[in-house]
Amino acid sequence: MNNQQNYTGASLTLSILEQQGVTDIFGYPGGAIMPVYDAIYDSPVKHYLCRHEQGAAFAAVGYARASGKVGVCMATSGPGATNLLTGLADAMADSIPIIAITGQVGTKAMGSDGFQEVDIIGLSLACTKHCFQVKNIDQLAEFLTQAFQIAQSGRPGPVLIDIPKDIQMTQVENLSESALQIAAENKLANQQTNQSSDEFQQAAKLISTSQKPILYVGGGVGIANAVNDLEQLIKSTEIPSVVTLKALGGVKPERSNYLGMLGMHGTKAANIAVQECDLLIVVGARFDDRVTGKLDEFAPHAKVIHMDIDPAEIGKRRQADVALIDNLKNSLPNLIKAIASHKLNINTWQERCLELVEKNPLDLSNESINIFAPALLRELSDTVSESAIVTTDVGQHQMWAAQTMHFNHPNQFITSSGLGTMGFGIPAAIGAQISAPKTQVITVSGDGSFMMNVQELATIKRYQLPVKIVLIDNSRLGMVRQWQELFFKRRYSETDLSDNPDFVTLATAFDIKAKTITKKKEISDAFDEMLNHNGAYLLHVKIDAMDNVWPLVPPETSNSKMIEKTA
Amino acid sequence: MKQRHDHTLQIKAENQPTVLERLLQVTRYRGFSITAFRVLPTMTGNMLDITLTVHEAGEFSDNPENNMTKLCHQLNKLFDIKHVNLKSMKVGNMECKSSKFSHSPSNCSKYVSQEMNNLISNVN
Repeated sequence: MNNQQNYTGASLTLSILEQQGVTDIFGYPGGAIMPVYDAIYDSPVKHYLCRHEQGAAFAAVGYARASGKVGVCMATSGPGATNLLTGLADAMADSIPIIAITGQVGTKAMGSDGFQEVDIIGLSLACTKHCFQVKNIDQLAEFLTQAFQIAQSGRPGPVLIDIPKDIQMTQVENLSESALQIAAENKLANQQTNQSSDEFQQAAKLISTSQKPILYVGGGVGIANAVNDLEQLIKSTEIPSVVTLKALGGVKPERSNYLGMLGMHGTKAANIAVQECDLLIVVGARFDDRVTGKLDEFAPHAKVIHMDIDPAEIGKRRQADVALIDNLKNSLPNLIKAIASHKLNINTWQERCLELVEKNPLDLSNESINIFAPALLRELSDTVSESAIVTTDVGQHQMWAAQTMHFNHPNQFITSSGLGTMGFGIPAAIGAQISAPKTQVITVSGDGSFMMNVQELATIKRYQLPVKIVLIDNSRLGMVRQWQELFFKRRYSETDLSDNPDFVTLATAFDIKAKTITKKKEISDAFDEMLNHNGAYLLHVKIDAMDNVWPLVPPETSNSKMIEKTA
Repeated sequence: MKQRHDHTLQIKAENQPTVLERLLQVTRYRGFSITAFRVLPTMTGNMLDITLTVHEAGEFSDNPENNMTKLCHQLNKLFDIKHVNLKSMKVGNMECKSSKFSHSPSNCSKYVSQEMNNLISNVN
């Protein structure tokens, strides 16, 4: 570290980031954050310039999801800061640890409606786990260090730190080493639990007396880095499992007794099995409405063992019979131990689950010579590398990717789940690619979502990132159009995008090689060309406007009433 | 006939600039209206003693105490809130009930339903 006398608020900020292990940050400069950008000029921490602050926030989310580290994004005051908010809300909904650093007008101007002043603390309250405004230079080190602790502790989430410009420029005096090594607040230390073995015994008894248990696996498994522990539980018990959108890859797709994703666009097998089960073992999941369908009719015969680190999730949407409130990294091994002495008798149930899987395959058949996106995405999944990271945007293409693509780990499928944020896919892929430069990173996007953060193609160009973009184009806002067809009497209000730009020309303008395909017979060669291309590539895939995502649980309907493809 | 249930929360919080806004925001977002709100700084330490009386906004639910417990868990997650005590009060007959929430999740982990207890005793 520099001689402490040379620190300003700005250079101290960079030093603390460095000390926290941050190597990459995403952002966009502006007036009130200029001193920090001046410090970036000398810092080993690498800054990636995105072309919109929202892109920077999503890049931080993609980076955090792919690497397991904290993602960091940065913006100036006012509009720069407000542009980060959607990314923060996204990270809040999906429990992603990111830090947002915002510039603020000088302390003397604060509260006077100054140029580019906005009350970002007030605005961020509802979409951050915590936020800090630095009021004097002595708070800076403590707040930044605490921000990293809060973002990662317990159930992770986004933390914002607002730093007025004059504090960024203030010389730091009396900086003790201890100021850089702030001990965890008691509150954080307290989050270690010493759960008694009673609850585990009760859970084990419930499991051993159950005839039809099922594991309902959520995003918590990936966040807790407990995929192997879950694998052990499944191996030792052979209990059938279903996963949420965020947990795809949490159970190996080839594992026996795996029924796939549940919920609105889940597999029929998963949904029927959950409706029939007598015990739900909930592993890091939260009974989201897209999972449960009509809540009162979800898994109506099931007792519930709820495993989660967040006490507020227990009983929030569904009462639990036993709650195991802890990091899954602790509670899963404890549960395995507790079950070890019990014998499970679930052969009939396993056979029933297998029958459900065999009787309800995903229908990838399509007679047309035109491209059928689910079949294309299955082929893509079979073609890409085993370690490939796939990001998506939000809509039909996202559900098709979730239904057809296979992942070996939740970190390999990065999608906006809870918030469902269009425009997420490309910046998230940028973050993922920067965290894992040698890994194949693919974005599956749609023509609606793609245009929402299209400016990030310039970021791909700037850093020569070899991201491959598969753009599924039905010239519609497909998911909304599908709902208009099914639930709004085919009144297609504002969902026709047939005047889209020429996507190949657009990509070419950013130096990204691109190609359009329209027929099934072109797919294989196009994949070869894309995956062998040494750089970014956009594969523009034209599909029929009227293709729908099947099967489907209509909103506020029981999951036992899935609608199948109509003629 | 359903009665309006007022519930009083006694909250200890760090006296930080955003703590009251966060408290009010979570209370509103989780579906409660505030009927009384008192904040006093503690004599020692940089803390606040907060007394918050709320009732469920909108239609009265069948299980207000359960919803209050959910609110307490959500408030308890806020970084600057140290603990939350819940006192439920049925307007009319003054029936009181008190529950404590604090930051150690282990305090919340003794969570076994009555039905589950029955089942376990049957198994035993």
